[in-house]
Amino acid sequence: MQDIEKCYWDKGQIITLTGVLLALAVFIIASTAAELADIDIVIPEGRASSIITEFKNIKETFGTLLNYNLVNLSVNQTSGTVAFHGDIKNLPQAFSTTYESIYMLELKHGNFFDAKLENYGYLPLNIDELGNTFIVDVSLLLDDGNTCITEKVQYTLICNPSS
Amino acid sequence: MEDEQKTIRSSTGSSNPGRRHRMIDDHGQMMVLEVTFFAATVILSLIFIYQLSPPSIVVNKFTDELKIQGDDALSSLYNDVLTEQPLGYPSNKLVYYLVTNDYGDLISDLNNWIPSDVMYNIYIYNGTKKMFWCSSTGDTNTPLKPIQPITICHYIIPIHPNHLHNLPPKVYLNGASSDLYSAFYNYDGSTYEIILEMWYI
Repeated sequence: MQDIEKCYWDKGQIITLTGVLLALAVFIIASTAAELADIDIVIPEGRASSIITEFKNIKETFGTLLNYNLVNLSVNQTSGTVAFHGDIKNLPQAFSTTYESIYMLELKHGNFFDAKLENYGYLPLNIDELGNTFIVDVSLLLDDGNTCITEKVQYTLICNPSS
Repeated sequence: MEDEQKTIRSSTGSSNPGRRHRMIDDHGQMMVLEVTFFAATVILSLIFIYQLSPPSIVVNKFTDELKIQGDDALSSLYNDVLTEQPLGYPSNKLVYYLVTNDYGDLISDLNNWIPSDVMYNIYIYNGTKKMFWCSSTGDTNTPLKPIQPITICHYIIPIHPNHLHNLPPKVYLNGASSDLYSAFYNYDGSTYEIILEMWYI
């Protein structure tokens, strides 16, 4: 008789366990739903606070800034074409000017910027552009204290010999 | 009657000691399982409560989205090339608008990216000097008074000094000078930063 009661008691435990399992399932579904709802908040927060956008901006403009600091820009008034005249020997100085200007701007935003001139040389594109086009290898680094992004980038500079 | 009781006893297995031991073992396993499930329930409940978003993040959601929209607007304007290549001028829209004092097109293009219930001020900065460029209303003299919370986006732009002066008058603004040159006349560098200060009305 006692065994029969014990069997019924085990059944009761199984019902309780089933209840617990159902409760667990509800919790898991609710947690997943809460997490999915948070994605809408977490992703914009991550993107907004990330320095990737700033690094992309620097990467896009560093080459042009370097070229502008290296050459003197002149416009042919009749054809409207723009010519870049300068001396490639001044590249280290132009690089230093470019680096310092971006360094100052990034420092104002609480970021540390570093750049190194790795290598540069003449790029033989075709005979007409002999000695006017150069490739420059630069390593860029941006650090906001939490994230550090670094990348080696190659830029093409135009520098016609000064007449 | 005695036969019936014997039948019941044998059917419940009370006369089988092996089955009794197994039931006692099952009972222990059930208790362990119960404890495990209870602990898992408590832990999951705590995780669930923790995952309920704090209100501060929800408040920042709008400024975060505005920051992304502002960054995208400036980046797109910088990378957009004018349909008709202007002879002697930079061909990207952002620099062209700044160099040629084209306030209207700058605001019009920005408004395509920024929500209509957002007001903004635009500033130009060169690392030492910051000047007010224009506001979302087109005013070039007085910046609008911002309302908290303010979202600030910035974008570095290269402008050669000769884009602002020293170019032949026929090519360059029909002899007029850029407002950037007036503001930064003693600056011979090429690095400028456009600062977009935005807020919801």
